[in-house]
Amino acid sequence: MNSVGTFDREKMAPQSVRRLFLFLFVSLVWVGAVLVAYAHFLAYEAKPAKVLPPPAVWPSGSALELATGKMNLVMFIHPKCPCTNASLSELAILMTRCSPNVNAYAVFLKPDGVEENWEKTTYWQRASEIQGVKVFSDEGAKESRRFKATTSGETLLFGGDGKLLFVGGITGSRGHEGDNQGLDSVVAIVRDGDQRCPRTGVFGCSLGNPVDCEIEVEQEIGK
Amino acid sequence: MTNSIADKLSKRSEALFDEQIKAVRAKVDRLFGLLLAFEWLAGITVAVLVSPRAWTGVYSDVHIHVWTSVVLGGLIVFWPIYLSMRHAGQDLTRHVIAVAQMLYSALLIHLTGGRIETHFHVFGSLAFLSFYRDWRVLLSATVIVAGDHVLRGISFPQSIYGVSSIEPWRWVEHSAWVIFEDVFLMNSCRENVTEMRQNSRRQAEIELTRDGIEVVVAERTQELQDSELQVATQYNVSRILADSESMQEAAPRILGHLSNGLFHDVGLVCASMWELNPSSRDLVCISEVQLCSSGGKQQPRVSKELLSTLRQFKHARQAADSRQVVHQENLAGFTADSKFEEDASVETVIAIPIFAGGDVYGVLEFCIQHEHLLEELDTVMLDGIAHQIGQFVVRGRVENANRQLAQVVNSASEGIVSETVDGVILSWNKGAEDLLGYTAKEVCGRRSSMLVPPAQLDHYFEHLEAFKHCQDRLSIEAPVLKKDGRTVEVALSIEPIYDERKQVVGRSVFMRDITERKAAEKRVSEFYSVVSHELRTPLTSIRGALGLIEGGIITPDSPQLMELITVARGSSDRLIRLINDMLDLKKIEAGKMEFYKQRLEAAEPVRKTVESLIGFAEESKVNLVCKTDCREIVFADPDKVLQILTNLGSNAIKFSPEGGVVEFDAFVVDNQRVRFTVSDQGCGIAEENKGKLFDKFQQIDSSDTRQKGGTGLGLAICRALVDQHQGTIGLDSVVNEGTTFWFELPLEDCPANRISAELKAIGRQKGKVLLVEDDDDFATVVGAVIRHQGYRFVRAASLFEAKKYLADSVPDVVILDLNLPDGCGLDLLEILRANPKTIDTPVIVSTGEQAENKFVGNATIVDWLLKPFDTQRLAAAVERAIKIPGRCKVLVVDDDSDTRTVLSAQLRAAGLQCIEAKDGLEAIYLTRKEAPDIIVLDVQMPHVDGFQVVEVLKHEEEAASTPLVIYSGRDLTAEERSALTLGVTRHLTKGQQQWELSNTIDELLGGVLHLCAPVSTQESAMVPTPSLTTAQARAPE
Repeated sequence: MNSVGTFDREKMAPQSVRRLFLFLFVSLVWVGAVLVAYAHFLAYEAKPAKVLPPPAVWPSGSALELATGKMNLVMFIHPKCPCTNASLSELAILMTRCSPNVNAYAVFLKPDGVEENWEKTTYWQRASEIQGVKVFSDEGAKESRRFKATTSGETLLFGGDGKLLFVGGITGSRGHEGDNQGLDSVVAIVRDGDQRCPRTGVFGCSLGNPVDCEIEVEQEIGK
Repeated sequence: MTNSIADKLSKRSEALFDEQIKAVRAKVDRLFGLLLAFEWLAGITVAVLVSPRAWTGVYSDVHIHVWTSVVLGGLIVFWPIYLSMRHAGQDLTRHVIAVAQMLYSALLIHLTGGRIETHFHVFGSLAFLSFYRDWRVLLSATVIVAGDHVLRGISFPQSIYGVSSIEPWRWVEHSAWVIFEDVFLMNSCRENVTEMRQNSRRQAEIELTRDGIEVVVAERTQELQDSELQVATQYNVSRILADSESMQEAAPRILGHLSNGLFHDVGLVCASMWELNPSSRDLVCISEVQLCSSGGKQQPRVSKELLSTLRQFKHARQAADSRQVVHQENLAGFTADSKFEEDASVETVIAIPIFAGGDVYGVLEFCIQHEHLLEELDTVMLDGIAHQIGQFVVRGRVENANRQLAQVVNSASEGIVSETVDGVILSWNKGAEDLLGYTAKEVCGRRSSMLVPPAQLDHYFEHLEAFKHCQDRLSIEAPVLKKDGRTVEVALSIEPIYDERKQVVGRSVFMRDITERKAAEKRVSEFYSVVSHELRTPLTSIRGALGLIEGGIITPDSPQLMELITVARGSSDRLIRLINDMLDLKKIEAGKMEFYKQRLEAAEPVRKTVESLIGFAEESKVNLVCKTDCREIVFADPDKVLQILTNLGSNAIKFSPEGGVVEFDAFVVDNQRVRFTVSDQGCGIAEENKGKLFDKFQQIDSSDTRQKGGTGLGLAICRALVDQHQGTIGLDSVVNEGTTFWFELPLEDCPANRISAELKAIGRQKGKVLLVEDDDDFATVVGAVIRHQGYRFVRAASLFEAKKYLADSVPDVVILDLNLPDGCGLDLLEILRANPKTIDTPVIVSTGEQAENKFVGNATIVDWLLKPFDTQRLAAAVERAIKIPGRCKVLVVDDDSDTRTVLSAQLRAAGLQCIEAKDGLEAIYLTRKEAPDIIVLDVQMPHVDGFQVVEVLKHEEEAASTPLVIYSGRDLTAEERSALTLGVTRHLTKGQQQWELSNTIDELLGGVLHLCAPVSTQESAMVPTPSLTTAQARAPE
């Protein structure tokens, strides 16, 4: 009976009281451990990836066609990154808001040496279904290197004249949908012609760019 | 009582509620344990499915979400799962579970990016937590939810609200919704708890009611069982009492039933039944039962010490004296005896008196291990049982008395008859049946006049009529008819029988056969006549002879004087004989005759009898022949056997005609008995007289008895003596031809031992025997015999060799053949006489010639053996020769100088050396100084008596083995005879025939007295009469 009884101090033996305090202490330690682990998790979730400075203008030689008279949005996507789902959701919202004025590209990474259709995951299909978005298979990550994109979800906005207007992510945190500064900035540029060029954090998997690009990144970091 | 029930109800209700709520909460704990485990696994599964890996180009690794679901999810659920498994139902467990569940909700909300749908997990969890029916758990959960919203709203609002920027009070809205739900859930919890409490109370009420009913049912059942047990116990006790014949038989069974009945579960350790001795009033324990277990429980065994201590309290005595139940509890407190503190196996003692009709007959006592209060019902029943037992005791005693009375009546040798006042026989005992021959069946219901001889009928009817009006005892002697028509003289004692109104309803008649009494009276009358004659006749002769001498009619120098003295002496012998017979008979009748049985060679008493009777036979001109040489051994008193043979021999001589022959014989019959016979050639005994010959005072013909002398007691004494030897006596007789009286004694078991141990001891005296014999074979045989006797043996084959031997050596005995190759053996006698060393050497002649023609009377020739002779005869001759009379010293000890003088004269006349001692001191002195061969000792002497003399001599080495004859006037008891023993010892009484003393001395000295008598030439027939037999001894004491 005592084993299933309440912790009644008056009825409990000193041994039971000691056990109660032991349980309380363990419970507090447990709560602390949970909070600490949770905090670490939150910190990771909220930490953006490091990105390289993008080209100030639409790179020449790009396979992507610059549409003049429209805003040109390029989103680099790792076809297997789980965070891509949130990014595509936000892209869909963005296109809904700015569709006629934006020429959007969803560039799916296809590194060398991978099997056929490696890049054509469910995200490929979903991106294809977003109105105004053109999907592009970036074979050999050529376009990524041209645009110096390093992280899945990294979004670049160029004007009709090929001038860079925005760079960053359009999700608030890793894999999280919802209103965020990146999306709002893009919409503001497209709709209101905001000339500021803000940078937001990018939350996603690494695209695994070539070495020269990485050297540049290192150099940037070194500077 | 009401408060008590309410308290009990309240406590029970609380207990039931606690039990139920704990069960519910423990169950919910276990459910949450399962739910949390499920959530954890589901989280891992979703993480693995949705974001299994994190990529870097073509490279990938496990996604942080997977690790998060495993590690963080596991961290959240492990502690509550552990508590739900090990400590389900406890307060802390459900609070930890509530916290964990809310943390998991927070994690889910975070992972879903604050989707509003995920917030329903919180609400669902709260609803689930309300299953605990504990509002505090909801509070803990709410606090966690609110805290999560506050913290994450500040730090990472998108993770909980789904937007990156929120107003500051958004958490309040969320918390308010949660609290909103809490309000309902808490109310639900309260309602549920209230309902549970009501249910518990109802259940408690039902239980209490049920318990009450069960208690009542149990009480009623117990009462019924007790009642049934009591009835069964009473029935069993009644049945035991009905089946038993005595309390000793019934007691253990009754105690067993009571132990298993009334006291079956109270810890009874010992039950005992005491009986009150009606005469001494002492309580005697007739049965005791100890129980090792009671009511299926083992219990200690009562130690003897504790029981003994218990008995000292005399509870049973108190119960018997007070006639009330004694109930003693707390024995340890009742007494300071440490036994009760050490051994607490008995705490209560109950003693119930056994009574009936106001008298106490015993006590039932029960020792109980624990304190036990006897209930009133039990007391009443125990009283009833005790009363039953008391009635049984009374009934048993009455029946026992009646049975004993019936046995007495039936076993009485007297005839006991009861009849009505009209003479109709009602009862008839065994004595009457034996007396008159009728069985009870044959006479009961018939008139007693059938038993009266016709000539006595008138008297009978007179008595019958008179007795109707007379209430006194009547004693008469009358003849009564037996069944076979003969009459029997009976003594009748008639007593009236009364009814309860003291009216005479019949008579009891006691009949005693007085036939024998009448016959005895006749015999005694005849006996007195005979004895009177036998006493008066010798007394007359003595008186007459003494009168003649006293009156001077016969002068001292008259030749008739010696004749008169002889007559007087003969008459006094007759008187002594008569008195001795009467005294012997009296001893036998009183059972005081003592027997000193020993191994006895059968021929020995026969020879002695013949020796002792030869004088009497010569007087009667009757020849005695001893035919026996029986060497078989019987175990008998030699004196008594001698007495029987002497009696029979005397009778045979008396009733034999002049010139007749009386033959004595002894031989083995059926290899089991030795038959001694005495045959005469008298007139024989008629067949009809044979049966009564051995009865006391029986004389076939009184006139003949007077003619021959005798008291009629001799044969009766003989029969009694033979009976005492487990033998038989009888006679074979043919009228006008003769009679053979015989008696048989059982054989001793080891016949191989042919020679009496005592005689052998005497004969084993070392000596040297010289045989002068030319025949080698004969010498070999004689040598073997002599060596067997323990002597050294030397042989000389001729006179020459004998002379040569005698020149250097002195033999103790010489056995001499007369016909030697170098001369006549008698020539050697001169050589022996010529040598002072051999002048007294005894010589035994061994020859084929008769002795009367040669050297008869030569003192040195101690025996004459006529070839062929028996080797035993030779051995006996050597034995006697070793002890020639002149060498034997006899110490006569008696304080009476006359007795001493007479005995010494007689012994000297027999050729013995005689030393006299007048008292014990002198006897001891002379024994030490002279070392006599035999001592004749009186017992009663001044200063130092015979006992002291023997006691002193017993401790002296040389004297301790000296043969002893106690010669006293008093009858010695067995103890006195045992004390008066030295070597071989005989106890004689003064006043017996003188030959008894001489025979005894002769026996103890190895037949030395025979050497003084003329040598008989009839082998084994006529034994020389000791010269002592003619001597008279006066033995005053």
